Amino acid sequence: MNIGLALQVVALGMLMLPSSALTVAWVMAAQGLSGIAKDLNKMSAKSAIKFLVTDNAQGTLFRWVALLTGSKNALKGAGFFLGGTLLVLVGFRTAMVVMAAALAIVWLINLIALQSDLGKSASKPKFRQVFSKSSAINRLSLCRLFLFASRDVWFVIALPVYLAATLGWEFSKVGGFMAIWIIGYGAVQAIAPYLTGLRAGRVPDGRDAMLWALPLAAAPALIAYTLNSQFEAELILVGGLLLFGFLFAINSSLHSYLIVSYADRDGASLDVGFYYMANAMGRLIGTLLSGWLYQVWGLQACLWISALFIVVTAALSISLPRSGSTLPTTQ
Amino acid sequence: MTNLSAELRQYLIITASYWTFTLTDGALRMLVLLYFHQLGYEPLQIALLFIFYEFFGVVTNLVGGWLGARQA
Repeated sequence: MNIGLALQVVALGMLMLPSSALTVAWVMAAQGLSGIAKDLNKMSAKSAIKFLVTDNAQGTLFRWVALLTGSKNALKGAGFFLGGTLLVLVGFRTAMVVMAAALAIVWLINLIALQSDLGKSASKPKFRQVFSKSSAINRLSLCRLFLFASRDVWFVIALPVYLAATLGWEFSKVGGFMAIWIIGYGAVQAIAPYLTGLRAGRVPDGRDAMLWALPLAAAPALIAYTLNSQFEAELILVGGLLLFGFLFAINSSLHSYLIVSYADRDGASLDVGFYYMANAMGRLIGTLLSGWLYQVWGLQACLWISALFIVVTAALSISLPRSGSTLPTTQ
Repeated sequence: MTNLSAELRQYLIITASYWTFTLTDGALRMLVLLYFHQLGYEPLQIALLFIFYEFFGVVTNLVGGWLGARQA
């Protein structure tokens, strides 16, 4: 935890240079540090909480871990809004100074008050295999890769730049919309089991994954199509993307459920790299495509590719196992 | 009882730290994106700014995911 916080302070410090010194390579390096810091913090926060509540009831553990992870989207969303607002109010450099100072204080509190053996992530392991022996798990991981790429291909670069440059939105409004999207996504994910029928005792399978992917694919396609007509383009874009967020959360939550159920069914362990990195890889691909497609062909191209990626997800889902209506049995 | 409250204090510190960090993580994403857009960077250049950030996400998920599965 301490290393992660310190790395983020360094990353913010690197960005305090005057704008003429902020070359692409320099900012890439600072962002790389920030990415490592994020992952270190996430892992150490999770493992520290596991360690802290081992003696207590398991139910307590789940509630605390759920609180920690469930609030992640809300805080990240609040951060989006804060970022846009800080840029308008105090400018980039001052924002870096303010955030670095806040984190430095948190870091000091950690140094003083946190037990030294806590919040440290364990040493690096050798991983056993990249792909699972269960082909269902591999296929589902590939579905997940395309699913996350379908979001980030418009979300990461294209949408915020479009909102600011083409629609002329204020930066705080852009940050605000991104915030609402990510917070809403987190909230829908939390209630997704009720919507897919899991809570009512209906067990979702590969067929549900395919059926839920279809309306998700329709959303960006319809937005892209109607953006041509100039008719209420802003309203359709905003409403359509919120609808996308709603459906995306359900799809993502379905995948999380299915992966565990397939691991049970096939007696396969889940220590496979591909499953864990699938969504991160999808994000990486989506981010690059978002910048490139938007620059060359514009927002509509990003939305069409998003729809295409979800069609690929749906097509891959056809081959996923169907369990019927009974719970998959272990062994 | 004192033991429990000490644990709770540790938990609160970790959670508060993680929340503060996540807040700055989200803010930094928007700041970098919008600021470099304002400076006139092309969308693809802005995307490149984020590739190491995302790349390390892939690496740590690969390694950390394995770790998480082993501990579970």
